[in-house]
Amino acid sequence: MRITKSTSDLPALRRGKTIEVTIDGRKVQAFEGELVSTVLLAEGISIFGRKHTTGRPSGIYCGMGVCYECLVTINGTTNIRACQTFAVDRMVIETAGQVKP
Amino acid sequence: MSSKNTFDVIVIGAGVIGCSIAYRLTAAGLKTALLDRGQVGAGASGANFGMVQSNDVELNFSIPMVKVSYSRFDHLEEELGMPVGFRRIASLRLLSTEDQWKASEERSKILPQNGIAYEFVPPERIKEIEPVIDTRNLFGATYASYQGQLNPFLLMWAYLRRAIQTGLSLNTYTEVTGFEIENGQMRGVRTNRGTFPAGAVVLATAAWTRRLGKLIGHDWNIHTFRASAMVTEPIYSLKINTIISTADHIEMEVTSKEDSELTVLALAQTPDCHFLIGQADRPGEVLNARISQAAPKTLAMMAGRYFPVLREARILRTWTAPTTYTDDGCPLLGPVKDIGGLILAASYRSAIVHSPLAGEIVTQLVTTGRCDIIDISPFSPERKMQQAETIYTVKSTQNTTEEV
Amino acid sequence: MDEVELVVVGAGPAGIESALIASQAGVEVILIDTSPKPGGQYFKQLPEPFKSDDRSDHQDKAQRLFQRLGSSSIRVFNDTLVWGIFEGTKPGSWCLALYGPGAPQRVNSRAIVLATGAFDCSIPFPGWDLPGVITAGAALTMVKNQRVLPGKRVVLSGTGPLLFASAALLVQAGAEVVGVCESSANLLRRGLPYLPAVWGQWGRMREGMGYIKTLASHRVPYRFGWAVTSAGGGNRVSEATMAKLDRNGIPIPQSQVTRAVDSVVVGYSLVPATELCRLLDCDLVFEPGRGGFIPRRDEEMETSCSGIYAVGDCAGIGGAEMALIEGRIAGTSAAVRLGHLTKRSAYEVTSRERIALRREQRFAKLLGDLFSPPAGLFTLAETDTMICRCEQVTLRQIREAISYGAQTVGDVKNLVRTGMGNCQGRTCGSMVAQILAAESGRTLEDVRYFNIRPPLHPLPLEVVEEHQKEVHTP
Repeated sequence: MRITKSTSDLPALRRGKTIEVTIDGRKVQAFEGELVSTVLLAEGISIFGRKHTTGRPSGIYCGMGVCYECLVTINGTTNIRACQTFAVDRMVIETAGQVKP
Repeated sequence: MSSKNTFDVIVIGAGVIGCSIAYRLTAAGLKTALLDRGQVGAGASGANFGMVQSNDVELNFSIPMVKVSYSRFDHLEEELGMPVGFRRIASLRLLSTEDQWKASEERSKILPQNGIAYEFVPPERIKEIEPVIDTRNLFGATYASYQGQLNPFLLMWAYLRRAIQTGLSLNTYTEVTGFEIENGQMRGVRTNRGTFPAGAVVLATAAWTRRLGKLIGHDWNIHTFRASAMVTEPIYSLKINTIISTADHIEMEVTSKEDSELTVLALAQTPDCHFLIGQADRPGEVLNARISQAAPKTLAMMAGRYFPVLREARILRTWTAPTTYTDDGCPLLGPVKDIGGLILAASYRSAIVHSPLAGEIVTQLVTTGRCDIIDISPFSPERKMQQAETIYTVKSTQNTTEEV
Repeated sequence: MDEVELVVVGAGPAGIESALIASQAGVEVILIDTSPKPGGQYFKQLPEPFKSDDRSDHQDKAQRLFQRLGSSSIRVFNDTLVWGIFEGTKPGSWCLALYGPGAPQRVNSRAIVLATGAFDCSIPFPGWDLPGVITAGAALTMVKNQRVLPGKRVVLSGTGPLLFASAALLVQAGAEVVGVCESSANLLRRGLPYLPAVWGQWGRMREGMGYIKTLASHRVPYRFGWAVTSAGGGNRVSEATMAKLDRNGIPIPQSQVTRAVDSVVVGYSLVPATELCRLLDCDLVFEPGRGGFIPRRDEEMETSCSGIYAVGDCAGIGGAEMALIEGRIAGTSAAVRLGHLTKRSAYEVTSRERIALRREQRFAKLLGDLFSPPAGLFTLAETDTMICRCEQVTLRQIREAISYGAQTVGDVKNLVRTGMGNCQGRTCGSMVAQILAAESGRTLEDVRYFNIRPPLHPLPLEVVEEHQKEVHTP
C-alpha cells in the first residue's frame, strides 16, 4: 500500500510521473522514482521468487541490496535485485508467479 | 600457551595430503597433531577443481604410484563413511594445432600401455563427446575417458572426521615458527601457540615447504607459483559432460613483462551447475592469496571465447592460491636424510589422486621406517632433479591437464 | 587507466567528510557509491523524481553536506560498485575495479578510504525467512524513501533506538502496529551508570522522546524484555508469536502471545560492512560492542594494509556523529600521507576531533551495552530453520558440520556451503558464528569470519572481462 499521509516525520511528497510496467503479464501503473520492490509491494505481491533447490518463496528482506532475497526477472534477465532497481516505463517484471522454479 | 602433551607425530599442513596422513596415522594408533597456519584447505587444496587425475601423471617414475592411488578411490567413500561427491568423468583437452598434439603424442602411447585411457580424438569425435564445443578451429583433442572429480573440502573433512574420532588434535591458525632438533633427531615443533613435542614430523606443506626447510638449513628444490580460478552462479542453460581444457593460452602483463599471468582455459561444471573457470598461473615465490588485477580478466576472456553463452553468467567469486611444481614433476616424498624423524610429503602435481596412498606411505614410514607399498626412491627429498621436457618453459600444475 | 591520489568508497557521512577534508587540502579525490545519490543510509535522499519539502534539522544537515560536496572538486561516481581492489602495478598503489555508468573500469590510487557503512544483523527464528519478514533498515527505507507500507498489520522486534524509530514511522504512515518488542529490560536501572556518557546528547534524546510520544499517543503496546520468537504462514507471514524473555534471553513459554500480522520488522543490531577489508586481507580484531570483527586501525584510521583507511560504521558501529569525526581524521591523515599537509597542521585538526571522538565512543559504548541482543535469542532456531538462505542450508546441516569437527565458520562453509551464494555470507555470517561458537564451546573470536574475494557482488563474466589487449598469444 502506498503511503499518502504526511506527518512531521514524513513530509508531504509528490511522486514522479506515472509510468506503466507489466508484472507477470498484467499492466500496472507506477511512479517514476519507485523501486521495482515498491511497485510489487504496492500491488500486494510479497512473493518475488522461489529458491531453485527447495522451492521456498522469497521476497524483500534487507531492502539494501545485501541479502539477494528480492530477485526477480526484469526484461528477460533473471536474478535482478528488485530493491536496487528503479521501475521504468514499459519494464517487464516477472516474479515466481510466472518463472518456473 | 605452553607445551602440549607429547605427540607421536606432528603433521604440518591441513590440505588433502596432510589430512589423509593424519587419518592414517591416527588409525594406526599414533597420537597425532595436525597443524595449519590457516584453516583446513587454506592453500591449493581448497582452490582447485577437485579433479582426481591420472592423465597428467609424470611419465618417468610416477605411473605405478598413480595407478595404486587411483584404485583407492573405488572404495574410499565407503571406507571413510562419508560421501565426498566423487564421480567418474572424462577429460578433454582441446588442441588447435598439430604441434600441440605432437607434444602429447608420447603420453598417448605410454598411458594406455599402463592401463590409463588416453587417446587422440578428431573434431567429429569431440562433437559426439561434448556437443556444445565449437570444433571449427580445432585440430583435435586428447581424451582421457576415465578420470574423476570430487569436492576437495568434503574429502579433507572425510579424512579429518575419522581422524578426530580416533583422537586427532586439529590445530588450525597455528603457525610454525621453528623446529626443535637435538643431535640430528627431531624433537618437536615450535608455533605461535606453543611447542608441540614429538619424535616425528611430517611436512605436507606444499608451497610453504621451502620456507620451512630454510628454518632448518635445507633448501628443497620446490618452485612456487600462484594459480587462480573463479566460479559462476548456477547455469542451467549450458551443460557439459567432461572437464574441458585448452592447450591454447593467453598471456597478460600484471606489473611487468617478467610478471605476467599465463592463462589456459579449464572448465568444469559442478553437480549443482556452477561453472568452475580456470586457470591463470602467475610465477613468483609469493605466498599470499591476493588475486592479480589481470587474472579475472584473462579467465573471463578465455571462458567467453570458447563458450560465449557464459558471458552473461555471473561470477560469484575469484580466488588464488600458491601451488608448486618441481623440475622433474615428481613430489618430495620420503624421509629427510640428516634429520631423524622428519618426513616430507610435498609438491604433488595432482595431490587429490595421491592423497589416499600418501597417507598409507607416510604412516608406514613413521611406524616401520620403510615403504613396501611402492618404490618411493625416485621421490627422495635429496635427489638431484633432471629437468623434465616441458611444453611451457614455466610450469606444470595440479589443476589442469597440462602435460610434461 | 585513471590515476588518482585518493579514492573514497562509500558516500555516507564518513565518506563525504573524508573526501571533503582531503580535497580541501588539495588532494585529488574520487568518491564512489552504489546508490543513485550520496548520503549513505543516514542521509539517504529521496529518488530524484520524488519531490518533498523536508525542513527538518536532519535534512538541513544533509543538504549542507551535499552543498559542500557539490562545490568541491571531488569527482563523484554514483550507481557505481567497487568490485575489487588489487595490488597496483606500481609499488604502494592500489588498483580498483569499478562498475557503473560513466565510471572508468579501473582506477589506480595511492590511498583508499573505506566508508562502506553497515547492515542489519539477522537473528534466525522459525519463519524468519518467510516473505513479509523484513529488517528495520528495510522498513525505514520503504516508509521514508519509497513511501510504501511493508504491510497493514505489523509487529516489530529488536532493540535500541532504530527499533522505536521504525515503529513510530510505521504508525505515522498509517500501519497498524500490533506490538513492539524491545528485547532489553530494566533499561533505566542499567542506564544509570552511563549517565555521564549521555551528557551532551540532548539532540538525540529529543529525537527519542518524539518517537516515544508517537507510540504512546497511538497506544502501541510496547514491551520491554520481549521478542518475536517465531513467525508463521504458508507462502508469506500471517502470524507472529511474541514471548517474554528470561534473564538469559530465553523465551518463557507460558508468556507466549500470537497475533495475526502481515509484516514482521526485525531490528537487533548492525553488522559492519567489512567486505572490502576482508577482501584485502586486512587484519581484523574482535570487538563485541562494535559489531564483531572490525579492521585493526591505528590512530590515523589506517588499517594493516598500507594506504587503506577505514572509517564509520564499517570500522565499528558508532553512529553518524562518530562517522563524521572519523572521516575527518582519515581524510586529514590521507592528506598528510599524500604530501598535501604537514603532520603539524594535521595535528591541530585531529587533536580536536579526537576529543569529540572519545565522547562519541563513550555514547556508542552505552548504546552497545544497553541494547545488545541477549545470547538466548540466538537459540530460537529449530533444526529445520533456514540459516543460509542463499544456499538453503538449515541448522541441522550446520550441526552436522560441527559434528565433523568444524572449528571456524570457514570450515562450516566448506562443508555445507553456508556463505557460498549470492550474498557471500553477509546475511548468515553472524548467525553461523553464533551457532558454531555456542555449540562447539568456542568463542566468537575463535570461530572467525568468512573470507571475501572479488567480485564484491556477483557480476556477469563480460563485465569482469572488460576489453584488454593481450600481451601476446604464443
